[in-house]
Amino acid sequence: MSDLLASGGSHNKPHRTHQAPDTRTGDEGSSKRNIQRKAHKQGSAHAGGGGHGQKGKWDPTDDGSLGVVKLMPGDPNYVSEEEEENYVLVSDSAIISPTNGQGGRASRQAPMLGLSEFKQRLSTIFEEYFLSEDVQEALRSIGELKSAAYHYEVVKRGINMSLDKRDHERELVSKLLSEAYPQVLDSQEIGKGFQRLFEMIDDIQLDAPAARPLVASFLARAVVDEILPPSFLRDPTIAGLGGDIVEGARRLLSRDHVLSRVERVWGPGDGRSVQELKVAIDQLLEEYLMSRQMDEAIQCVRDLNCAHFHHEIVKRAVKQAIDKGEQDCTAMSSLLAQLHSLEVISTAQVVMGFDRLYELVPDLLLDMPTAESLLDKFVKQAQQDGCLPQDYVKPPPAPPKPVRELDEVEAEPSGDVEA
Amino acid sequence: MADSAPEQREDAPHGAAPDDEVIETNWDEAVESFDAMELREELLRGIYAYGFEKPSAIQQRAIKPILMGKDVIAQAQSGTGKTATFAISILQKIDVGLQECQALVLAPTRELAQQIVKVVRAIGDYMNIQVHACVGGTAVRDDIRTLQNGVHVVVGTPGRVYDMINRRALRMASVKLFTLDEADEMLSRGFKDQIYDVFQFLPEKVQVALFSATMPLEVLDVTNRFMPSPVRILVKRDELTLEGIKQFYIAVDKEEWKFDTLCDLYETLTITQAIIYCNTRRRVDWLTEKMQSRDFTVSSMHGEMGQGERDVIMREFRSGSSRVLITTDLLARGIDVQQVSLVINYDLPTNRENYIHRIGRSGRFGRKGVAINFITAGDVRYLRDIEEFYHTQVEEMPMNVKDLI
Repeated sequence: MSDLLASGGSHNKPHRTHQAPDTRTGDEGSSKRNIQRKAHKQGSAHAGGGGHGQKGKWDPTDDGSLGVVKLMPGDPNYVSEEEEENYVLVSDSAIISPTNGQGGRASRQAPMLGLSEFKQRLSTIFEEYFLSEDVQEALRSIGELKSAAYHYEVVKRGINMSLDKRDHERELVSKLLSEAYPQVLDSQEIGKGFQRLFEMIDDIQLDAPAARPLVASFLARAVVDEILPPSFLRDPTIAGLGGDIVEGARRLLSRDHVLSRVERVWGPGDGRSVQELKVAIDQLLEEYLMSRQMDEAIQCVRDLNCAHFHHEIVKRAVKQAIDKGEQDCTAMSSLLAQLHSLEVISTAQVVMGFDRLYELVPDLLLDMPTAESLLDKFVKQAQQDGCLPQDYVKPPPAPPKPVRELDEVEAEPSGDVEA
Repeated sequence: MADSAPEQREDAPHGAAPDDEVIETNWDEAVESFDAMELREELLRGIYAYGFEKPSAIQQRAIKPILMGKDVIAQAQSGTGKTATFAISILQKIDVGLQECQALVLAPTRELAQQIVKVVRAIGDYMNIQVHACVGGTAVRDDIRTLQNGVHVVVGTPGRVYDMINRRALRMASVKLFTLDEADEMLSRGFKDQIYDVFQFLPEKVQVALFSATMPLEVLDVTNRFMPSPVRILVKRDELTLEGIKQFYIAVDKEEWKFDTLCDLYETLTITQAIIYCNTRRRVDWLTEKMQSRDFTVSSMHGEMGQGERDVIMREFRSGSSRVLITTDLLARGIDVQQVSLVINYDLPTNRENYIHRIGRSGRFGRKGVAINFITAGDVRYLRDIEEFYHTQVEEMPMNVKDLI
């Protein structure tokens, strides 16, 4: 932690002189935040230990803070440094001990920011993290807020924000929590973060009906990632507070081969690599051909959350089907038609998928002399179903390209549609 | 398109619907300017001040029927201007003098609800209008007080709104327009019961506007039940594509070499205009400063800038007063970057989806573009991933890149 802070500091220093005008705007905001912090300190004194005092006002400034924070006075990365100075200069210096600069979590100083300010900064950090996926940067930014006492909020807010998003963001939050341990977050803080979530789960659930099972998954994942001890789930207080969430987590953890399953608790839409996505696609298609459960297959495609990779689904679907029988081809055609009519798969992606198939024809012909006519049949059906434009022209077979390193797994030439 | 194939809605808006899963357009009138929409003057001012010049496809088609009091089903994805569509309609319909909730908007998430509120507030800037986001977290008591005092527009998730109705904080008697945004997403998030519950409290004659990217059966159930003879409007979004974009990489090997590479490129960049993407705001600040210290003219977006300021920067940039803009995905969000023909990925996006958002173009702008990716040794595998994901090719940058821009 101290390393993080130190490096952050040295990184920022050269810029501060140039940022002088910004410092002024920071001044305005900071006096306001001072008041907030005092207010908070009183509040927590009254609350007296119970998380209850916080509950009602867990986020008094939440309006807008999940999106881009309008009150945000500035980039936390720089302003935080300046503000520290502001606080030392203009506010009660007893609150901020001079050692704060290198203190960090271990020394347990009073936080540099008020709680609501901290939460806002945290939201912005998470917003950026969801896009940048840069864990180290996110952790460093959190460290720079120098408010270690509030670090349990990282758990609470990260999870809470991810409930509005998709599996991919949930995976990112799980990853961040895991990376934050033990420097930024210890087990106790992680536990506290979950407790706070339990306390407000009824409220959260109003806005996110799936909140309970999702938090349960987060909890199970935290145990599997070894950032929370399994005993946490057996603690009677926790079990009492968490109720069915803790129960749900325990159930997830009681299954066989729990590690591999819970490690990937957010499913194929968690942002995995192209190679892994292909495996997931094959699995769902094979399952569909066996079970013929279209709704399930469609849900699986949705879960993949990879709209721009749907050409691969089209390609693999057709390729799998023509290897099998006519019935399977029909079934696959109807799946594609349904996926298209529900607008899960766009026309452009269907076109790209078929283009790629035609490029593969020379290769397919090696194993199956009828491949091209089967493919033509598929195209005709797709046009009838409306998922391929009537004027679709099949591209000429592409000359085989040199197999590149990563394509070897597939052992097929990678074609270029635009060519 | 003169084929009898079923489900032809892609290209044939008038095609007959073979079954109830197909939604067809039955409203064709398009109003091509905001001026022609007969909006109140202060609203019109707000629209232009917000930065809109011309209504988008959905705005051209949907605002008028909503203002005429018709139930409207609009199949439109995000990025088509749908939020502003109902924001404008709501603002036109509100009686500012009546301190009651007159428009209720349901959204699938807190985040989206807050975004909607921002848009309504921004467009209604010149009207004395009260908009309230009914989302978790805020002290419930404050929420109740605000609602009881009366606000014109309430936006929230179905669960939250229903809770507020139950607490008798939210009166529904004066609601004229009920909007469901991203209905498919709301239903897939499990809000079905809550939506039906909220409906029960609405006045019988309430007008309904429903927006949904897709029309699965669940959504059709809702529309069938609550919208007797709706106007249906289908607006396809032009999908982002990498077609026509020349994509190159420059192998820089080490992170430290990126900066010098960029400086070498600067002259090329300023032939046209360029956007440089970094992955974090810290990197943007750092790079901006470093470029400026070498006397290169660049503009950049800061974390502390609000949406308005970012739009100003973008407008300046577009007007040509600056030729190089440094930004991140987050900062550039919601800003129209489509017209810039040169994009530099100073940092390769770790998040695959960002790649197409940075450099892809939608059909409307179907322009040529050039993208240059700076690739360190560690990035190679991400670049391959991106290539395969989009089924596209990124080639080593040729010497004559100037000729391509």
